[in-house]
Amino acid sequence: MAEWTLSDVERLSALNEADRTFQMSEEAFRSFYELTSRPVWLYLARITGDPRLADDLLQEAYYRFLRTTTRFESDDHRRNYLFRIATNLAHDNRRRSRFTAVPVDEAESVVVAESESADQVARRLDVTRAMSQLKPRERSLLWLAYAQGASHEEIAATMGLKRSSMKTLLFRARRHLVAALGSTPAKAGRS
Amino acid sequence: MNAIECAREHEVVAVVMSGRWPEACDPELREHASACAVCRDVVAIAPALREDLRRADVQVPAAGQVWWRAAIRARADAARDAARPMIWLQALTGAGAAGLALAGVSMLWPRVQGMLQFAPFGGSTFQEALPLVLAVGIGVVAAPIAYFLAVPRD
Repeated sequence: MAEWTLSDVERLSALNEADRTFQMSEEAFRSFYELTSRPVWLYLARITGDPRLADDLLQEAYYRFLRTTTRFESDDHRRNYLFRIATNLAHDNRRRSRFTAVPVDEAESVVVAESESADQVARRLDVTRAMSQLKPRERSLLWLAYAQGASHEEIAATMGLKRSSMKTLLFRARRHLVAALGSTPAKAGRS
Repeated sequence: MNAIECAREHEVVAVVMSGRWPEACDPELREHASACAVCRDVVAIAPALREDLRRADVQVPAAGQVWWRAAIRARADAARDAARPMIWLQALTGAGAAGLALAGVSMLWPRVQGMLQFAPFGGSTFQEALPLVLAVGIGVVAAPIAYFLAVPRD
C-alpha cells in the first residue's frame, strides 16, 4: 500500500483546487502556454525593460488568467485577454514600485541567424535600444502593433483604450521611435 | 498636414508579419510605402520588431511548472479565504473580551479604591504600582491572543 506523505496530500489538494477554480484543464493549458508564453514573456521584458521582472509577471499573468471567470469567444479573445492581464500587471508594477527600466542587454538578447545580414542585426539592435527610450505605454502599443501584428481593435481592447485615441497614441509612439532611431549610437556610428 | 493613419497600413503590417517584406511583396505596395509617411514609419520599425520577437533568446519556465505553481497558490489562496471569517471572529472576540475587562475594571474601581484605604501596606504605594500591575495583566491576557492572530496557520 502506498504511503501518503504530506506532500502527496498537498499535491492532491492543489490539484482539486485547480480543477475547481481554473477555467481550463492542465492539458488545454499546456497547449495554450506553448503558443503564448514566449510572446508574452518578450512583451513583458520589452515593456518593463527587466527580464527578471518579466519572469515574475509571467507567472502572475497566467495565474490570474487561469482564475478568471470570463467566457472566451475564440482563441484570439483568450490570447488578447492574457495580453491585457500582462499589460495591467506591468503598469501596476510600475505605479507601485516606480521602477526605473533597466535596458535589456541587447547584445545578449539579439540572436543572430546565419541568414541574417549584419545590417539586419544592427537594425534590430537599433530598434531595441530606441524602444527602451520610449514610455512604457508607447512600447506596449508598438510591440502589440508591429511585433504581434495585433489589429487596432485588439490593441485598444488589450490596453483599455478607446479606438479613436489609440490611433493618435500609436502615431505618436511611432514618430517617437523613428526619432529615437535617428539618435541611437549604432545608427550614428554607421552614418 | 500629417496623416495619423493610412488605409493601407494593415496591408503593410500583414506583409511584414508574413515575412514577405520587402523582396516578396507586391512592388506597388513597396512604392506606396516609400511615398506614404505613415507606412514609411511602419516599415522602418515593424520588420525589426517582428524579427526581435522571432529570434530573441527567450527561456520561459515549463508549462507544467507554471501550472503547478498556480495550483499550489490557488490552494493557499482558498485556505486563506476560508480562514478569513474565523480571523474576523477571533478579532471580534478579542475586542469583546478587552471591552468586558475594561468595563469590569471601571465598575470595580471604586470598591478597589475603598479597600486600598484600609490596606495594611499603605494605599499610596499600591496606587503607584497599579498602572504597571494592570499593564502586565493586560499583556498576559493579550499576548497569547496577539500571537495567535499574528502567526500564520496552515
